[in-house]
Amino acid sequence: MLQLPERFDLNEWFVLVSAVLAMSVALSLPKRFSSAEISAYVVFTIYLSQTVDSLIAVAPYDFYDVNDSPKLELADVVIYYLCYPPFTYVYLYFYDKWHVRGWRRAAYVVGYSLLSVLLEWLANICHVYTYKGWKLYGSFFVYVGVYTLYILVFRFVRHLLRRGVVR
Amino acid sequence: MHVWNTAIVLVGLAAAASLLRMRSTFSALEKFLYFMVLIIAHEHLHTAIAGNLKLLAITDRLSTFAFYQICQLVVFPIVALWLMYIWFQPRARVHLLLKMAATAGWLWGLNGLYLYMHAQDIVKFTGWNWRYLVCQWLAVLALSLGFALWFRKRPGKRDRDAAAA
Repeated sequence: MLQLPERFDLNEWFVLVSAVLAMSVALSLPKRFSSAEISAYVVFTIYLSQTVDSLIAVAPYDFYDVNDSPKLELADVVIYYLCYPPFTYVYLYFYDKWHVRGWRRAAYVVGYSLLSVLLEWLANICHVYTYKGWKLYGSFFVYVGVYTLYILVFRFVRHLLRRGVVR
Repeated sequence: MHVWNTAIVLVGLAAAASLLRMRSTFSALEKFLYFMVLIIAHEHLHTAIAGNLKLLAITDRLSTFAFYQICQLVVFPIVALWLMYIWFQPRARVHLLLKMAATAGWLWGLNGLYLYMHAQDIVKFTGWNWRYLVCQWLAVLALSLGFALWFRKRPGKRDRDAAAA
């Protein structure tokens, strides 16, 4: 069953504060996307983060642990559902609002990836992640891939909505 | 194991291609969403039940890991998506008994695949049995059907309302 924290210490506080901040920022933005779009971005974010974790955070690779133990904890669920999705939402919100195109698109992806690396570094200091062979610079390349994928999903969902295939 | 890995890749590709034949009931966005929701629900429940209670251990070998993950991330959710498709058919077209029979067949097939993986030393049962499998997968199906029901009603309604406004 879902594991409770061994001790409610720095990593749990970091997760909790991050979740509150991320949700506050996302909810304070004016409505831009339809509920179908928001559902797609939220579900895709949870799906991607969980799939990556289930592929590289378990044996035979086992590159890192999240929070206190390798088991699924309540704090892990908070990260999946309340930290990552609003971060993606804000990313796509400004991508759409600023009409990011051309070379600015690459700069936007790289900039957001650097911000994510910075936040991961802070999370690592607070023991949210325990690296077991993983290097922080590796995360930068993962984030570049992930944020590019988010743009592709954004365009794919918009394409489906324009075709009017969502009832 | 290479033969079985090739076979499961082919099965995965065939399963993915079969989604093109899933017409009229689910839109492309719905298929995309429900597929991911099935994986999310399954991964969470599987880790919380089989992982946290240490009922099932995956062997460390890369070749068996590939087989296991293709099953978990491609084959199982696509088959479950087809089951959702059957559940969303009108009652006049597919009778409730037939839907229940399809669900029972799906669970039976899943149990068979787990037993196969156990026999091939891909997973080790350290307390896992068919009761856990039935509970876990029925919960996955219930959560995914719940999400699908919510998605088909709420967003469409709200979007139309917003457009009308």
